[in-house]
Amino acid sequence: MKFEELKSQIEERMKDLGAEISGKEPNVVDVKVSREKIVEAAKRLKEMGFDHVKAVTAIDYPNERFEVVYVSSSYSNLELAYFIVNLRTELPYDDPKMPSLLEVWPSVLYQEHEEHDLMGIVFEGHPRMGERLLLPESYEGIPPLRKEFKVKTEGINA
Amino acid sequence: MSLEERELEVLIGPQHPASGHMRLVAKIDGDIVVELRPNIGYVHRSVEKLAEVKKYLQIIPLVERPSLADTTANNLAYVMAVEKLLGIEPPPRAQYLRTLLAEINRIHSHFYGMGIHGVMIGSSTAYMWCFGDREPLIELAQELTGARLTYSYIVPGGVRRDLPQGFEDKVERVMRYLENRMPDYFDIYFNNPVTRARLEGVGVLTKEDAIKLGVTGPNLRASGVPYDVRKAEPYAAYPELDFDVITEEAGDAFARVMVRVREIQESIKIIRQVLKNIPDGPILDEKYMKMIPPNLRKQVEETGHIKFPGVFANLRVPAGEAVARVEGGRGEVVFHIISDGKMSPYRMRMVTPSFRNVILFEHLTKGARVADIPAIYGSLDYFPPEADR
Amino acid sequence: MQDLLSVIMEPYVFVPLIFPGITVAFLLLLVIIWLERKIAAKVQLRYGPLYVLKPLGGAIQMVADLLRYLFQEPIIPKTVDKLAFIMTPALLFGAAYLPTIAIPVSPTFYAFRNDLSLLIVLALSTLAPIFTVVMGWASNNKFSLIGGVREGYIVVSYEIPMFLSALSMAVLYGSLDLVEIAEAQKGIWGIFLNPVAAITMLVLMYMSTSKFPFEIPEAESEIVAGAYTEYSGILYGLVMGASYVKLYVLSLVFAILFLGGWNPIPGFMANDPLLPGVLLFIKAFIIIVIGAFLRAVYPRFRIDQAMDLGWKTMLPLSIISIFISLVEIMIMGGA
Repeated sequence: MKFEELKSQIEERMKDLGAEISGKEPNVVDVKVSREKIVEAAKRLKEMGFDHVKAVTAIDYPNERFEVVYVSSSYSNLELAYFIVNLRTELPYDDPKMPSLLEVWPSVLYQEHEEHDLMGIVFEGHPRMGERLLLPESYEGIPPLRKEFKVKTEGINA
Repeated sequence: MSLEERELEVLIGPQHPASGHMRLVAKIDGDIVVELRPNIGYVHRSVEKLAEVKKYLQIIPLVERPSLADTTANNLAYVMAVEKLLGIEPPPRAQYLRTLLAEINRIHSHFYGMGIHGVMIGSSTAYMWCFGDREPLIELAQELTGARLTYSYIVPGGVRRDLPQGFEDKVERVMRYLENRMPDYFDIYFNNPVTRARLEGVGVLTKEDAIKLGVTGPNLRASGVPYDVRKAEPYAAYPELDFDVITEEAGDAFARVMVRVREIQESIKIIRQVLKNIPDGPILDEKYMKMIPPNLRKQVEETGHIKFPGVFANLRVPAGEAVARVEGGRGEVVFHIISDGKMSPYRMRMVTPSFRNVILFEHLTKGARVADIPAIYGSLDYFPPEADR
Repeated sequence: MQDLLSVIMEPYVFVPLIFPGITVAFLLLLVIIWLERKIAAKVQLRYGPLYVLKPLGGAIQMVADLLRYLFQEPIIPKTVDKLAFIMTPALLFGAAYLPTIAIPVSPTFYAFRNDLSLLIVLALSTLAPIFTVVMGWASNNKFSLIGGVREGYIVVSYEIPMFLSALSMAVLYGSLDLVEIAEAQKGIWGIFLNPVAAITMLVLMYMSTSKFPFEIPEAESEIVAGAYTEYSGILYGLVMGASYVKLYVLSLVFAILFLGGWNPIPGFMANDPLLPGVLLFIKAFIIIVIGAFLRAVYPRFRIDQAMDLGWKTMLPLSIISIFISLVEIMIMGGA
């Protein structure tokens, strides 16, 4: 399958969701949708054969927005396995909530949990919200992956 | 505990001979596991956060440390992501050298996993043999890179060192040793009736579940999914090499071990091809090679050891986003780097195979026996620091 | 001095205190644990214990270990049942050693002779597992509890078939007296007369003493050390020693039942306990060494698989062995 072909296929499927499709040669397609539409968009991607998520990346743009990226690809269709589809959405900074995609992609169970733990994003419908994953149970304070959490550095570059 | 209460909660780890740096919270009913939840994070070292304050070159050793037995995969995946952002392609000889180290690393990573698995089901012989036979490979890697485990061999634009003198012969000797050695493993361990009884039919992962749960590496291929990044999105020298993707259909603990064993044989094949076909040429991108001061450049040409050009210390990577994936010994390593053009990444997401496989603890142990917990754990080749990062 | 020596040479003193009693059992412990580690090391391409008395390959490693155990603080957790916790290791060791008193050394040298000495040995050897179960309960630890329960399950799976296969030999020889049984093998050894019983008994012996592949009640990677998890210092040294002593006792019984005991022995030596005793010991020692070697070969079974083996394979085999004995008696025309 050609890159352009896949891109136009995704474009066609996502048209009514108001998705912005962009791509980076040779194999990365970016699909940007609003958080209300993300579950539907994920379902459609899954129907196309993008059956698992490789990474869930939450990005913090301080006082502006959060961006959550689902890096998905395919195991069942080896032709699609070459391609990576980044399903992304933006969340307002003061309300970092979005629906969990666990129903669509069970493979996000730990990934979403980690982003919740370290970035403070709330994935609604995820069964382990409020629990800690990597941080100690007693941790309180700013989620450490946010930019406002400063790492104390040592040595000559400090 | 009241008498009516049937379930017993057992906390396996973090202080337990076979738990590793993690805790397994198991609810058991008699000898049957009702529910098991892995409690990870005991060795979390916040690689992703530290990457935001470190320079691009400093991150190479940082990303290697979590997966001690499988460092090349992390090294390579990270560098590939950076190279995608920089828009450079390393010279062919460097690509072959990367492949060479990656395959040496794959073999000793598989030995590591099989050894730990062996001792988890009680075979101290398998453990000792695997760790002993890991040694020649580590020594090969040491001769190539100068380090036993944390190689930091792969740098943006190429590799750090050229092939040492007479390396091909040493590799060939080790490969022949491994080939002669494998039958012994079958005799005493893989075909041992007790091993078979403990592993066959234990922790069965169906193809559908494997895909659905997004597991990776030999654990995925043991369930019959022929996905291997080396074939799906070929990188380094893999497009030019001839090898097969190893799959097994059974999906049980034994199939996972067998995938590793057969991958070792496949890696031997790859290493031989690499050494046969390796092209001559530079081992660092021309652009960077030019930046090395002339007198040092002469030394580089003589010794084959790269002296880093000054630009490396404050390497600036153009703004943008890149995803790179690499098939390591334990599975697929994914790096997702968002750069804003500064000297450190704006955000670096590092997803290791163990972190993606941790979901299997919950899935595979349901209804298994208590004694199956280590048998399943070991078969996943799960490495807690790698999952915690 | 002379008097003391003659007192020691009295069978009822010599048997419990020297051979096959406590002294030899203790020396054997020191040797066999070292040997087990050495054999495993050989198979696994490494040295094993080496630096304690290097010229002899670390032969007195266990003496050093024993000293360490002696001087290590035996930690007694607050939550344990103290009396049971402290008593059981000694009782376990004692119970494992006790059957030696009924084992004869030569046709004329024994602490006591009884028509039922085989039964006495077997009965006494069943005492030890009870203390392991008690230990698991007294430790107040989940892993100990699981270990104790596993021991209980294992006991019921090996005991019946093991006794049946031992008794099939009694049927064959027409006696429960160990002296008579050994003497009956002047010609053909029991292992050739009834190999099924021999194999069943051998496998179940290893099962009863937690040798690989049946090292289930103390499976390290599953339940830390089973019933022994909370033990340290010399208390742990005792429980570790107990299973070896038990194996030693059962090996002696095996040697008498199947390997001809002290036979073949020239008639004029039969009254001197030295040579028969040495022969008996060597035979038992070989059995123990085989058990030590298994560690290097096998992983461990799961508990349900071991129980399957006990009930579904070994029990029928032991019943078959009784029939073999009966058929042989019929052919040979009565014992």
